[in-house]
Amino acid sequence: METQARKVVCQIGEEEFAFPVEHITGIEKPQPITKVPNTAEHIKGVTNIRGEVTPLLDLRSYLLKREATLDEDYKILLAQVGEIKIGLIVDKANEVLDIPEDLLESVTVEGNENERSIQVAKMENRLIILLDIDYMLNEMDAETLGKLKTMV
Amino acid sequence: MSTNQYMDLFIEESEEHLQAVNTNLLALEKDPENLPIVNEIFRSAHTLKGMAATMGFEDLTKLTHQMENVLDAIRNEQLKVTTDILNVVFDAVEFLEKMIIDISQGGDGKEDIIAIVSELEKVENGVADELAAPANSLQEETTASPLNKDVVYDDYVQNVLIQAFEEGYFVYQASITLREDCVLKRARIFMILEALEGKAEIIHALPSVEDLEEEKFDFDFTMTLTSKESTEELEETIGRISEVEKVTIQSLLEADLAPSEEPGQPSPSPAVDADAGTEEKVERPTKEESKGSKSSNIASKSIRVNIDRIDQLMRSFEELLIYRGRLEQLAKESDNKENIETLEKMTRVSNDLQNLILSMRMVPVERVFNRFPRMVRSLAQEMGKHINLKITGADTELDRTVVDQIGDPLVHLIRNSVDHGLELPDVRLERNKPATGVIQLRAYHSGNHVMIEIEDDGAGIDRDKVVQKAVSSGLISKEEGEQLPNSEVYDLLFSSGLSTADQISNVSGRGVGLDVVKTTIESLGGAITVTSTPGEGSLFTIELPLTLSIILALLVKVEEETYAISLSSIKETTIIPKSSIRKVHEQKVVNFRDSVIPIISLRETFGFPEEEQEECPAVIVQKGDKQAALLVDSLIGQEEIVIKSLGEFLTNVFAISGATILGDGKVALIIDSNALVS
Repeated sequence: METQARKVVCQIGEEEFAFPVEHITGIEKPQPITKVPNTAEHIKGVTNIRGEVTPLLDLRSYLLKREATLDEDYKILLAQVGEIKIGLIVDKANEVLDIPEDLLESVTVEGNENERSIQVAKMENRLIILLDIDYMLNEMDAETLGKLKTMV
Repeated sequence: MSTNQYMDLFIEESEEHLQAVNTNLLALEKDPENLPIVNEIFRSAHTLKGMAATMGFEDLTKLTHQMENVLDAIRNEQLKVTTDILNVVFDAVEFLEKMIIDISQGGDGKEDIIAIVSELEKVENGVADELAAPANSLQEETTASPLNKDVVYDDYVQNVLIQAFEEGYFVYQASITLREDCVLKRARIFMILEALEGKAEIIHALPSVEDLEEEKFDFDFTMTLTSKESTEELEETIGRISEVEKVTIQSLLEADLAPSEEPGQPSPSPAVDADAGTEEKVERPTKEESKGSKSSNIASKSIRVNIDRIDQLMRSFEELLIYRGRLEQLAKESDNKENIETLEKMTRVSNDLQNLILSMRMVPVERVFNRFPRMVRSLAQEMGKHINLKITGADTELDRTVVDQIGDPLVHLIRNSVDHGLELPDVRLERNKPATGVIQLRAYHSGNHVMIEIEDDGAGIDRDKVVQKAVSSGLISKEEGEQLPNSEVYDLLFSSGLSTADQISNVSGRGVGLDVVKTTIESLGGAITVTSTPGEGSLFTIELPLTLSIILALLVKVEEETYAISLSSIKETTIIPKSSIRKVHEQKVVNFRDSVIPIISLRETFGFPEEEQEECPAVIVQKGDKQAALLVDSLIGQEEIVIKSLGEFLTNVFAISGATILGDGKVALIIDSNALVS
């Protein structure tokens, strides 16, 4: 039987990324954001999501180095991995997709610390990069992603 | 039959009993003649054994059993309390603790206990032989009065019994022992009660029937029955029930009912029972238990609640506070008198509620303190020092989260005092001090804070050594080292990479240092200071907030953002005219109330563009004796805020200690003024 991986697909610019559905706890509309001083540029601040103070990571600048203001339309993907709860800012998030495993391909990239294989899904006329949130928060950055893209 | 549902209870109670054993053993060491203490220990050990057997932990049962034997020998004065014996018992307790920890982590509680059991046996047998004779006579004595002297009838029961005699009933005292591996004690009790129904009436039971039904007993209990059946008949009825180890039934005479002042006096002609001789052994635990259940009856006004539930209650309450804030804002905007009045009432109720919930979360610091006596004892033995640990204020209460986290810092400080502070006995004598050093551990309330102090009468802190060490590790320059006042030199102890121990010993001076202690305490919103007099000792003072999660704070505005500053660190607010700001060594300062204090612009700190203002509102914050003026755009007002963490992802943000959710749902950051002042 064909196995499938259920993913939440989001769009940043022209790129499509997918996260494991079990790591995504919700999708939120734009919110009033409180800036946190002296933090990295891609940390947009914190916001109140259902009574919890949630930090927001702007994937538009984190992964694509794109200057993005908060005036634009965006979505917040709520993710939870272990103890870490975080909101990921993306352009669009509108799809939960079952990706058949035979469409997945592993690409090995050199990360900052060590090599790591990242999965991409090649579907008809789309290319979706599958991200592991834990790995993304710790090692992945725009540079690694750039390398990955040139390889694909 | 699954025993899982009892596991939590078992672990919790075992820990309590072990703690009781620990505390009492220490008390016994100080006062070896005090036999009531031995009884206490015995009782705890016995209960522990019973519980372990019920839960099927064999090693645990075996070890407690052997320990109990030793205690029994001490209790019966066949064994004299000596340090050697206590050491063995302490070791055994340590083993038991290990097992319980293992069990609580899902293990099976198995340990290699052969060695320790044989140690205990040696201790026990070392005396049993030579004291065999007195032991025998002791037994004889008790054989003479097999009735359970602990069973005391009140007037009501006595009247019922007398009436029973008058109506021609026999009155029996039945001592029943269940098998130690009996799992469903409650079921057995019901079976016994059912079997007796129609044959006999239960007039009195020890522990009470309610306690029996709730399994609040070990394995043995005593019931007083009225019946027309014979002893043998009743014994057989009860004996038929499985898992009943032993039944002894004796008839009471009317004369037995009169309260006898001399318990040693044999009761007049009780129906002689073949088992009476062995009665003594099973009887004893009954007595102990009965006392135990009596005292627990008094304490039964409290219930056990899972701490998670209280945390949950707290979280719900915090949310309620946020909405209350929102309502307050709306009410102010609408300016409706009735709304405002209702809200004021609501505020009052929610304040009461808050105090109640907070008090529920309070636990005595005893929870951490009680492990220190034994720690100090073994450290002292290890290092050949004589130490007297004096604990005061162990009943001082603190928020549970704080109590849970101050354990390690305190362990470190006490080890520090034992290792670096107190001198060896001969050194102390040379310095005209008593050979036994004193470490005092004190806890007390002071305003909205709880203070914990650790004071020793040891050598004190060697200023030169600290300076030398700090200079060599590059913390300060040599010139600085000569000029620094003592208090600042002592503060250096809390900086990382500084240990004044000449040699790294097992006890301290390894791994974590005082800097970790300081960080932990500051993360709890507390502060630590140290003072010392060379040759006379040192004093560490820890100041902790009563509660962590809800504080009164001043809200201020900087640029478009709202920030909160804890009211406890604010001295006052003021307005500083631009003209009074001066610059000293690139640092802006202002002359305020006759002292020069540094100015910190929050705009600058938080990376906003500076703005020219003729007059600037400022918040004067203080940390210890240091002050600073924080410049803000405007002051909003004070509010009760709920502290939330920024989450695991954003840790160690400079000058921000957390966040809170305001009435309008927006997040405001909480300023860590301690970080700014220093």
